[in-house]
Amino acid sequence: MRMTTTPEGLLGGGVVPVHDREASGLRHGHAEHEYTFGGLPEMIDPHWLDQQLRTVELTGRGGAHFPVAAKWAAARAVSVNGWTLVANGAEGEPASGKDAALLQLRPQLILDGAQIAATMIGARRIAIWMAEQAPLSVRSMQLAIAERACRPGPRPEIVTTAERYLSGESSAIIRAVQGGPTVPRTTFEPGRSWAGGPPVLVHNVETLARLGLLARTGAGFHVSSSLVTVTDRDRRLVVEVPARETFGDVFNRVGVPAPQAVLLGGYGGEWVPWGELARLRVDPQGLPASGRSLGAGVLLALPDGDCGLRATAPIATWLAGQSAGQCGPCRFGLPAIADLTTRLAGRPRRRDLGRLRELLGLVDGRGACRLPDGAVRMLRSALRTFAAEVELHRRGQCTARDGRR
Amino acid sequence: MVNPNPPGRQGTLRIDPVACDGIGMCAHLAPGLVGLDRWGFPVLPRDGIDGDDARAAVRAVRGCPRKALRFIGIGTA
Repeated sequence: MRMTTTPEGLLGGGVVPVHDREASGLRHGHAEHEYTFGGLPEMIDPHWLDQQLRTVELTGRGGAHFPVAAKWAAARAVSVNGWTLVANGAEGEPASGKDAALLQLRPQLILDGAQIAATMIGARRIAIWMAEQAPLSVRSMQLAIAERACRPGPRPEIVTTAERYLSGESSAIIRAVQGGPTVPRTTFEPGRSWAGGPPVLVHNVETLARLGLLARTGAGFHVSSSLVTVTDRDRRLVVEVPARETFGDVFNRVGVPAPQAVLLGGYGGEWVPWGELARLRVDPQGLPASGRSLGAGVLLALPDGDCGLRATAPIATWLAGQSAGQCGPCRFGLPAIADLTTRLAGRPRRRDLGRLRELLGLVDGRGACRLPDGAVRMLRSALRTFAAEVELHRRGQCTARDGRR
Repeated sequence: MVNPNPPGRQGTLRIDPVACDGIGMCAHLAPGLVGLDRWGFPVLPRDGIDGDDARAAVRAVRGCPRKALRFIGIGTA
C-alpha cells in the first residue's frame, strides 16, 4: 500500500494553547506546508472547485456561516472590476484564539485560499487584515509572503489596524480598505456592501485556510470540521473539531471540566446551559436546527459554582465600550444596559429587571452593524440561562462559592 | 422614464442610523408612523406601509435635515 501523509485538518489534530496572542505549536514554513498538504495545482478548474465546495458545504468561519460558493456567485453576478479580496484575521473577539493560531502556524494555507478566492472573483488586490497588537501573527504572515515567491496573481499585502471589537466587522473592513476610517457603515443593499467605493470581498482567515486545504487535498480528504476556542478562567485552547463530535467530546479532549454553562459564539453569542449543549454536535450546518449558532467558534466556559450574572456584567460593560458611537440607540442604549446588568449582578432594585428587558427591546436591530444585536442576544440568553440566579440576587443572595457580591 | 417607486405607494421606511442625529423632524412630519425613543432617535414601523402613511413617510424622508431616511418602494410599476 502506498504511504501518504494524510493531513488531519488544518492544525494536525492537536490542542493549540494560545496565550497572550501567542500560539504554541509547530509553524509550517513553505517546505513543511508542501510536504503535509501536497502541491497546489498550477491552474484550478473553477467548475471542479465549485463542485468540491458544494460537497463539503464550505461556509464562512467569521461567524455568519454564509456559503462560500454563494458569496462568489453574488460577486461574479455584479459587473464591476477591480475587486479587493480581504483575508480577515483581525479577530476582535476577546475570547477567541483560532485566527491567531492559523496566522502563526498555518499562514501558507491562508495565502493559498486568498489566492484561489482572488482568482475566482478576478481580484486585483489581496489584503491580509490583521491587528497591529498581534505582532507574532503579522511577523508570521510577512515571512510566509516572502517564502512564496513567483505565484501568479496579485501579491498579498499586509494591512494592520488598531485592535477593537469592530475592526473585524466586515463593513468596517470594507470601508478601511477603500481608504476610509475603520468604522461600520449602513448597508441598504446586502449584495453590495462595498457600494460607494471599489468592490471588496471579505473572507475570514479560517475560511480561506479551509479553501487552501480543499484545493491541495480535494474533498475526499476533507473532514467537515471547525476550529473552536475553548476559553476558561486562565486558558485559551484552540482545537479542530469534526462535525460528528459533540461539545462534550470537545471539553473532554482539551481537558476542561464540564462547566455549568457556555457562552457559545463569543461576546455577541448566547449562554447555553451545559445540559443542553453537551450532547449537541459541533456542526455549523446542523446547529441552526437546534436554534444555535457556532458563530466564530468561541466556547467560553462558566465553571460550576460561579455566578453567571457576575460573568455577564463585565462583558456587557466591555461591549458598551466597544460601540463606535455612531448610532444613537447603541451609543446611549448599551451603557444603560450595561449599568442595569451590573446592578442585577450585585444588589438589584425592584424594577431593574423590567427596565433591562425594555431597553433590550429598544436597542435590538437599530444599529448600522450587529454589535447592539449581539449584545442584546447575549443578555437575553443570560436572563434565560441564569433566571434562578436573577431570583437569588433579588433576594440578596448569590450562588458564587465565595459568597461575595 | 417612469419612476419605478412613485411616492404614495407601498414600501418600507429605512434609516441610516449613522447619519441620524436624533433631530426628530421625522416624528413631526409623520406623527403616528415614526415614534421617538427615550434618547430622541426615531423608531420606525417594521412592516410595509402604503396610502396616506406612505405619503407621510415620503414627507419625513424629504424633511430629514441629515438625509438619514429612505423610503424603499416595493411592488409598484
